[in-house]
Amino acid sequence: MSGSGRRTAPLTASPTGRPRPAGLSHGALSLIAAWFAAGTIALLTGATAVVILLAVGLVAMIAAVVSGWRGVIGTRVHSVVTSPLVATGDELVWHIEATGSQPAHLTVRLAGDAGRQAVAHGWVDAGTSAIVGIAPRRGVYREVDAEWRSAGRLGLMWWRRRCRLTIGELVVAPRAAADGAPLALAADEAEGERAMSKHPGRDEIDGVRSWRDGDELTGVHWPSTLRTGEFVVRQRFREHDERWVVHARTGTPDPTAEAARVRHTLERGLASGAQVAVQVDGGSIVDLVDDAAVLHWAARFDPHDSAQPMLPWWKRAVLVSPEPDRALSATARRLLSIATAVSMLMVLEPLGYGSTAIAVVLTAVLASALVTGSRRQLPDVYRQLLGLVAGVAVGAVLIDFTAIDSVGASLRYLLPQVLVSLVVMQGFECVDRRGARVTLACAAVLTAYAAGIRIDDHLSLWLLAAVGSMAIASHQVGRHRQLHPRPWQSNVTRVVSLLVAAAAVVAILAVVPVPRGPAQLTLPTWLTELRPTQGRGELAAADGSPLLGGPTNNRTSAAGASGYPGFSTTMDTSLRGDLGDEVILRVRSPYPDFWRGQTFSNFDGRTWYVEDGTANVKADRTEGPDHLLKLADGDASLYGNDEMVQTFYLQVDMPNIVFAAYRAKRVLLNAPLWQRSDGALRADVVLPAGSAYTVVSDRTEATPDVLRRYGDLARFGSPGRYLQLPDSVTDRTRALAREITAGSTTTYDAIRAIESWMNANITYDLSAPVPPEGTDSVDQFLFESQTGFCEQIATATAIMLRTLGIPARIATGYVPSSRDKVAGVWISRARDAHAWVEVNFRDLGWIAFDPTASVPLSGEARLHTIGADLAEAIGAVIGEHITLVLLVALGGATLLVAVRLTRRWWRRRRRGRWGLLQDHFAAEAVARGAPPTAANAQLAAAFTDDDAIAATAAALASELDASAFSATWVDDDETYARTRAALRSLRV
Amino acid sequence: MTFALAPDRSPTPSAATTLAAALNDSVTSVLAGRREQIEVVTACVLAGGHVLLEDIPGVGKTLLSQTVAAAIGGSFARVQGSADLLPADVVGSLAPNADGFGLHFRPGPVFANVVLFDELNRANPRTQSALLEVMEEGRVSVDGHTHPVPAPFVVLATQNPVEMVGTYPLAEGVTDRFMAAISLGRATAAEELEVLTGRRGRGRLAHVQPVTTPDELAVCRAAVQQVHLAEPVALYAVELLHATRAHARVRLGASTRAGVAMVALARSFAVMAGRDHVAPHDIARAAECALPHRLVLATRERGAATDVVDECLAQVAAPRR
Repeated sequence: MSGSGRRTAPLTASPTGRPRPAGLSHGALSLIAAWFAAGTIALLTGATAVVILLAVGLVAMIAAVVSGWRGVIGTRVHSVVTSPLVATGDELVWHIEATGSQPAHLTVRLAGDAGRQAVAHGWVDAGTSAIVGIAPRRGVYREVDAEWRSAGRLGLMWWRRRCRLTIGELVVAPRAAADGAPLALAADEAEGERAMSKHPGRDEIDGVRSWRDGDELTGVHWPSTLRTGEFVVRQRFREHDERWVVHARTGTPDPTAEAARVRHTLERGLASGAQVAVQVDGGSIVDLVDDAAVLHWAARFDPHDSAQPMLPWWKRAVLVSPEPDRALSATARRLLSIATAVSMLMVLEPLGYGSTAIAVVLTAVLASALVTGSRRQLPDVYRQLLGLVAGVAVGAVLIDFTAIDSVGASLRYLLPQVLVSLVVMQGFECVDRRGARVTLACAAVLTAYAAGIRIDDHLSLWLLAAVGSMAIASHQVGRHRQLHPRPWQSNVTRVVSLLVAAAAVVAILAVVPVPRGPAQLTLPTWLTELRPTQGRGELAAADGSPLLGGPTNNRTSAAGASGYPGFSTTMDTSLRGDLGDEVILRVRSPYPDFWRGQTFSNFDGRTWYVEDGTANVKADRTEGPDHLLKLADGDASLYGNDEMVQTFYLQVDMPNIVFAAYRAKRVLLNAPLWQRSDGALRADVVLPAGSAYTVVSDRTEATPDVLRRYGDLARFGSPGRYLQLPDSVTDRTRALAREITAGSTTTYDAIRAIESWMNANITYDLSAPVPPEGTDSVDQFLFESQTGFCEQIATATAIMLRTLGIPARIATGYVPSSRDKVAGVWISRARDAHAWVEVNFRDLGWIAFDPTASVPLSGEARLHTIGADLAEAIGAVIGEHITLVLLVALGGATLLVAVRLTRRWWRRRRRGRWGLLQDHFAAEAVARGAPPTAANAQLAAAFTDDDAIAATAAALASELDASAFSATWVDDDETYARTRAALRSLRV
Repeated sequence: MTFALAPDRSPTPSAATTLAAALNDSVTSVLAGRREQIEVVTACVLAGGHVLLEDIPGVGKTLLSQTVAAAIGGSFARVQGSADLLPADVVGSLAPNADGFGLHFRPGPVFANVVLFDELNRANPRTQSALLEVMEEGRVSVDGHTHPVPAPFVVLATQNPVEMVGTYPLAEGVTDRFMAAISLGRATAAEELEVLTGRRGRGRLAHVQPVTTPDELAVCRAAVQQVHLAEPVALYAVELLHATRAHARVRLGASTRAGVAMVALARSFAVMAGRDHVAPHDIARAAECALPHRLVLATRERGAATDVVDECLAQVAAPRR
């Protein structure tokens, strides 16, 4: 039972090469391209969600690279075994013994006289795998190059590792020349010479052998032929009464063909029972005793074959792809269609498509999965035709051709629709891994696009669904074959790597600031209907009715669609209205700011007036959709050094007021716009719920230092109407203003002084008393009630500033109250409607001040990082719902334990207690290097630490065998306990 | 810590186990070393099979057979294979009666408990074929009369694999009749020293005492046949047979008879190990002895059949609990 017929090459020595990158998988480039496309989307939209996607994608890509590297590191090839004598083109089986947690793809190359030749490749698993290759060109080979590759679980990047080992001699003989060929016959007759006469009698039968050229039909051994299905002839024995000497020539143009011819003749000689010999170039005669000797001779004969032409390096690099197979499994195809469907849903829903259009798109996705994922594939032509039809149909359903009036508009507004059609079409091209990865990349771009334009509160759920389905699909696409069941430790590894990946994502997000893109791509403007308003930008509610406002004492029925009295031509400072929790605005913007809607400069002691129809206020109409704004009264263009883009999404019907952070210089609104010289912006159409527009503002860098520098009290006295005071202003108001600001040398300090006085002396109260008719409301507020809300505080501040000669006015609008951390949008609710003071600084323009709202000065606003935001949000959620979080954690832990226990119970029920012992024993032995398919006795042989352990293992194996195969064996607790103890002693 | 079975669960050594141990000891006392090969021969004797010894001359093949015969306590006969040996010289022939009237059957050398057929491949195919009936069925048919050979009946045949000139390679049918084919191999230096100094070897043959009687052996053989073969283990054997048939290098895989021989041998191994059931490694060991000489390979390469069986064993997963 010696293995004399094979040569083994032990490879246990650590491999010589270090892991090197072998290249990217098919289609992996498309995923990288998709990442950059998503990056562009992030820059263009400034959407936080896209940045989160980018971070996840980056970590996934790094994980894919690391996973492939680990796959290569973790695979060890222990031995390579093959047969030592073959003929060119024959099957050559390599038995590879390897260990590792993931399958690796092994390529075996032979190195010898005839150069390096790849001869076999295939997947190797832990244990012994056989890979079948083809014997290479004729020659004698002494070295084997083993190169194994792995791309880990995600299969994006391949790593390789190489080692070279010496194997003794692998002899590859040429194939015998073709039968019946004239050349072969000529060689036989012309070059062989028969030394002696024919044998006179019949020969004795010596056994059977396979059919060779030149055998006679009468020699066929029919019983064996019928059993094996191949021609088998009787091997005849005869005395060596014939001797064939075959002449061979060296230096022929094709030594291999010469060797093949000679081999043919020699084998015919052997077949007819002659002694054979060969004479090279008339030299000495060499006797060859049997077939093997002939093969050895033919392999070694005249080794000067012309070298094979080498491909140029670039062709090799292009042709030799690192991914050994491209086939796509049906499961992967289905998962892929799910991922595509999720991203499509995600992008189509906010674009306002109804269920019919979405159903058409999903049907197309499903159809593409069915067409490309079925076992019987359609011919390419039909498949591509179907794809074209589906893509065009989807495009026709989605694209509203009447809305396209210019090339620019079509580029801007058709992008998502065209993208969706293309992805549907690509779905029909998805027949292999490359196609699958391209589809995945398209879906990723769609997801990024959707993350860029979606601002709703379900965004995080959508993101989870999209990322999850894409990760599963990607894993399934990269998966190459069924893995062996892995030991339980791997679960820990998996959990740890998941945690590491999550930590990496958060770490990346912690240093990446909230994007502040120009919002060009994020549906900069979106109007659900175009219904013009009347006049020159008069205030109009969403239903088109004019908003007039006017003095009223009715506190509950406030004017304006949003219920806030500040959005009309007059604002009674004693009113605020009953404002609820409804979300009014969602604003995508890098910083919080005052979203200004109206300004009021004319005060009559109780009510502020928008100066409509006066000579002071002019209104200019621009057609849009890209409106460039002129400077309004009091604006300055000196310090516009920070461009801030805000996109406003209206959640409820609103007046036609266009909100903007100061100082808006450009508005993207798909309708005409009235720009008023008091700084207010009004759309020429009604703005119902669902409308969106984008404003680009130049932010002045206003820090206290800057404001002090530009706000010398002595230099004031500019626009007169911002210093207008009602006649009812009392002296004690003026005196108070002077008293508070005594000692302030700059405007800024004066304002701060008034603000702090307000903070100290005024109680904020929404139910402040309505001042009696005929009194000055400021006086009443400052000296009588000393309670009030923002309108009253702002009014009092503005009036006091005006008494000091500082130009000030009132602005109304919204302040952001909270932030959606995933979508990165600021949320304003109805109760966030606000009034504040704007003070004019000559070279800076209008600066907002407010003692009641905590919006920072524009120069003090710092960019958040997403990670900090996320951490803060998570912290807040945990803080709010600590009981719930604890309960969920406890429930999860309980569930985990329950699952573990159930699985153990189930395994125990299925395998029995002895079955579990057997499993542990086998796992322990395999970990020590025993072959996984071995019987117990052979497993026991792996325990070689010392004699006691070996004896224990042998006895354990025998007891396990008895438990399985003996008829008389009975299960008793004592033996079980002893056996278990023995197994434990082995595991230590 | 050493694991030991609970004392009350140790199997009581059966008669067959004791007999096997005694047979082994007897042969070992004469033949130096090679315990594994001796065990295979003993197992074949217990299983009621015949053994083919393939080896060069002078390694103790004949001595082994003689010792087995002496230890069994049965009769021993020896046939020397040669090209002109006729079937009648082996199984017996009809001879004229002394009174000159009629013929009587004169038994040949196969009518013995242990028959050593030396250099079987030198006998011509006719003579080889004459052995088929007696090896398989334990009887000889001559001239329409059937004569049973004494039980137990063990044929130990030898063949020299090196010198092939003037030989007739055994036909498949003949090799299939042998339960196991083993190669004795050379003794180690220490064992050779024992032979040369007379501590082992032919000189010890005279000291061998029969350890059993033919009747007792028959009882033990019956016991061996009763050893429990569990379904999964039997399935393992079947899968091994299939693996040899599906192997790329095999032209003709193992027959069902090969399977029967393999299982019988495995039962013997189990008994020798003192077990009441066949374990998978018994089957594996039996496969290594019983399969290689029955395979017809694509190439005639020495040792290739053994490699094929090894590969099949590595390929088929052994049953476990």
